[in-house]
Amino acid sequence: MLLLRTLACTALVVSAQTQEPVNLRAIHEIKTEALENSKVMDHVFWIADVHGPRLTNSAGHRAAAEWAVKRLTEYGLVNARLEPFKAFGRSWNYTHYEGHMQTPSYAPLIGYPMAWSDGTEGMVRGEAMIALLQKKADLDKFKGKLKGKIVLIDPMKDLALNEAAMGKRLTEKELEERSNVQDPSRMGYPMGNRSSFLSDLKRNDLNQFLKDEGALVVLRQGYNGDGGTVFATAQGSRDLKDPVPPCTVVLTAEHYNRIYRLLEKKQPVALSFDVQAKVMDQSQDSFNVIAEIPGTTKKDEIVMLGGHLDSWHGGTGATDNATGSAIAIEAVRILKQLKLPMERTVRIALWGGEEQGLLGSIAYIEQHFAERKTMKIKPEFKNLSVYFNTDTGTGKYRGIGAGGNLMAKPIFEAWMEPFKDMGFTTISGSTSQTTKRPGGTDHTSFTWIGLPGFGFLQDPIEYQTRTHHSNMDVYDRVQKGDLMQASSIMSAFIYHAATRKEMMPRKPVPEPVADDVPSGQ
Amino acid sequence: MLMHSVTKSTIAALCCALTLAAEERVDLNSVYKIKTEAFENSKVMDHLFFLTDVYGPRLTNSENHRHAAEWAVKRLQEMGLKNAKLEKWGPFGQGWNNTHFSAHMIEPSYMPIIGFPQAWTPGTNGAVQAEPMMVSIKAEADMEKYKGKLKGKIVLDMPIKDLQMATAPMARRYTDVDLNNESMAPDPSQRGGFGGGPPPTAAAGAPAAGDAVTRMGGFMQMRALRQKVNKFFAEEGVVAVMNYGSKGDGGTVFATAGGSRNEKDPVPPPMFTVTPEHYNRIARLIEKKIPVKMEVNIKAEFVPAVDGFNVIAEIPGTDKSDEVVMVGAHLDSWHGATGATDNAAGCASALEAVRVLMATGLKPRRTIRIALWGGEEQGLLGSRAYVKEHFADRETMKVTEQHAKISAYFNLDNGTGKVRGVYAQGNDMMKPVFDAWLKPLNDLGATAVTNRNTGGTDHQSFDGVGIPGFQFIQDPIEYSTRTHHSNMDVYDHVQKGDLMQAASVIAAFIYNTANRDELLPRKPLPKPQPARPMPF
Repeated sequence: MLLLRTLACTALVVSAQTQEPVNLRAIHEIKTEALENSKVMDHVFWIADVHGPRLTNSAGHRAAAEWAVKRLTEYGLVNARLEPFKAFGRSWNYTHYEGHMQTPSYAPLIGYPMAWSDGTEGMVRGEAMIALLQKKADLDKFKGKLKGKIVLIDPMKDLALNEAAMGKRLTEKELEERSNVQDPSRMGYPMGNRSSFLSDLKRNDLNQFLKDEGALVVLRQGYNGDGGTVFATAQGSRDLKDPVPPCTVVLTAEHYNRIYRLLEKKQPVALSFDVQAKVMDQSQDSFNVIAEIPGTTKKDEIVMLGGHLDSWHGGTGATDNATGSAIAIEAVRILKQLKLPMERTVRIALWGGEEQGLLGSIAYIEQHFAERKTMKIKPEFKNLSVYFNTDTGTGKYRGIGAGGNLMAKPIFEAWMEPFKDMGFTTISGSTSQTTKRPGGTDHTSFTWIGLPGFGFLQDPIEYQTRTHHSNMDVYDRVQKGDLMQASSIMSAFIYHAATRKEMMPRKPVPEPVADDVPSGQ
Repeated sequence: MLMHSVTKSTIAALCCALTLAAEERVDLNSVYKIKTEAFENSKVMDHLFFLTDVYGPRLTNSENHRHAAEWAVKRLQEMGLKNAKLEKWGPFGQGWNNTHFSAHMIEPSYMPIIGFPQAWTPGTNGAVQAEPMMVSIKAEADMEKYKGKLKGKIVLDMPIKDLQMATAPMARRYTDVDLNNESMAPDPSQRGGFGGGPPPTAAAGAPAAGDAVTRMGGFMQMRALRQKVNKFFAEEGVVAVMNYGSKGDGGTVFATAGGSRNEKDPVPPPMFTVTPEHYNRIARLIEKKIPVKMEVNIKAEFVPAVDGFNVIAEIPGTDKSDEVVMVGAHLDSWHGATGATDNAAGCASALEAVRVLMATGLKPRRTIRIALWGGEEQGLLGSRAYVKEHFADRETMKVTEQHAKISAYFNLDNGTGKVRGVYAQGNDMMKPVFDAWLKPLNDLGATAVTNRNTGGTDHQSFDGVGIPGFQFIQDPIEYSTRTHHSNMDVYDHVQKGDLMQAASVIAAFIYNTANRDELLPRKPLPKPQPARPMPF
């Protein structure tokens, strides 16, 4: 029985491999348009330079979304609109940051405020003090001592010599490793290992304490980076019930460490900060950007592509994820420009709320397809062929993650073949665990409810070392050629999904799970 | 005549080298004591802390420079050194202090801008909001088209900088192959130092090659144009000039001076240097006709001219106390950060070397004198003035009595990297001496003796008047990629173990020099050399 099944399966793969059609003429046209008339960096310019950063529901996010609707409409897409989703929570904007060391000696301080923390009342000056607040018991130690102080709550960071290059592409060997099955006992998404998860000190308790104690400004280390590159996200929360912490600023490790050393050696340190930041407390709905190229004979069936439009606020969200949005916009631009007939409707989605836990895409799948906790199937569920996502930086596509959808592998292999000379060669995760919860990025919202959702495997470039959630996530860190390559592949994949005889093969519909819904940030 | 003298000196040198090679003695007992003190009771990072975190930056004649110097005098006295003092060296020009910098893009979207003002440029009179404008001036004639158009603008006068993905590590140590290459004599028809440093100047004891002269000429021409452009900008009433450094990105910004310490030079407009990502963003927005508004607030003050100064202190010798061994580094820095690797690291190592000698109780026969120079960044001013005052005038080559009594000067000024060897500076007679001294330090990675010249720092002032002056070979670490004249030249980019090693090597070298029977062998006295214009 088992043997028989294996044989049957093999036969299917072989037949799929031999039969999956690829339209080389269309691919030639797509490549030509993508490589010779590229507009992808212009999309990045508008999303990052003009409208960045785009913290969900901030003015920048909304302006970028409106720009995208306009651009997609100009390209001839239809139904371009902001599609709202409910109860994101409060928004936050900052419009001024400056920090200075005044004594013992002057230095401008490189950093920025953390999201959903308060501003200062104009330029404030105060004495710095160390108060390591790492666990619950630490709060008692500093009770009554923080009033009017500029408080350093993280330890010093030892900066090691940079002996590895910041930028990196995947080697053939690394690609091969990605395509091999990992130890089946270790499958699934690795859980985050941030110290805040391990500590008994919850964020809300820390923020409430800092607020109650009247700390003037709170200083923090970034979780990565040095040399003026600072990585940090939120100190407060979008949840209206959560306390708003005092002005919290993250500094480049060198500046944080200097202040810390001075204090340790009993040298008085006076600092001044002027941070204008505003928590907008009215509860707001958020939005995704949606637009379509209507299909011809199968226009009820949908092929989706996208990236998230929202970003963190330290840089301009260029590689996270103006690049993904720009690739998606460029892919539909190319298809419209070439007027290639497509049976299925192509729908682009630029998600909001991704950084707070894939909120936009989860809301979307719940509204259109199914809620995971009930798995009550909505009519559109059967009509979605596939969703393709880009959200791992600026690197070119080196492969695609099959997400355990073994049936998709031969299809991808066929579609991939004409792009091998552009470095696009690898299928990873042909065997992998079912999505137990959405995580990482937006295609997992689809796989979570059993719909085919795929993310591309990209060269890492400087994503981990320089740009991901940092103040250096900016236009200049985007690799133009990589985006052109990615746009051509995305475009070809969408074209083939939209013109293929069948919809993309699916994994079985999962059982409802009531208790495993992520809370986000 | 020339031939004859060369032959004679070569033979003399050869004999000398052979003799020394046979006789150079190293007291391992002392080296042991030095290493033990340097590694087990190190204070080098504490020296560094005060020089950088507390008193950095230390632009020559700034308040901090003076405070750091006063701290050094006090610390040297506490260690037990004698005659610790600030020694004046004559007019430096005006000082300059920066006490506030902030810059922002306000429209089309908010962004705090990472950067700092260029030295010797004025402030902005409080926070000023202004529109940025791209300007391209490559020749004098280009100024005409901007006449009357720059008032109230923040001027961006450089093209967009293409930033590459960083595919090489920032930090680097020399491999054995690098060091071996370094030890080999360069092609005799080529001039040039090792490690990408500036070309040796005439001070290195040889006639300057034609291309070096041309280079200097081109440099002076560029400088003249820059001065005219600055004057034009100032007269046109620009709010400020914004630019980026020749290297650096990701928030690491390299910049030095925009104006001049000479009170008679025209005062440029406020000038500041920013990380190229921020410059490029604004430049792209302007190019695509998106209105941009910025705000900048710079406070900078010029300090009336006073004399420059060096920090000097001594460990008196015993039976040869009238003879001197000198060790040092420059105390002044640029102002973007705290001058940690340029050159608090060298100062801390020199301070630590004399501390180690005092703590071990070793008795040097000759007097050991430490000097922490000022004005190095403006052209080795402190050390040149010192040499002229105490030893010889390079222009006349009239030597003082003390010229015959100084054995050598040792300098450390190539960043935070540990000592991998020493430049013999063309002094063939030193090779066997250095080889012998390095032998017990080989396991610390200090192995190479190169006869090559290295330039760009204070040992040249000595070498230029025929006094043995040496600079050590150091691992480059992140000197050219991250710290040298940048806003990231800070404590955290100093390598503690490397400085401990360097302090021990320097201590051993100056001890060996102090206790050797003879003074160190010298190259022949150079000919008088005409004054050259200062590039800065």
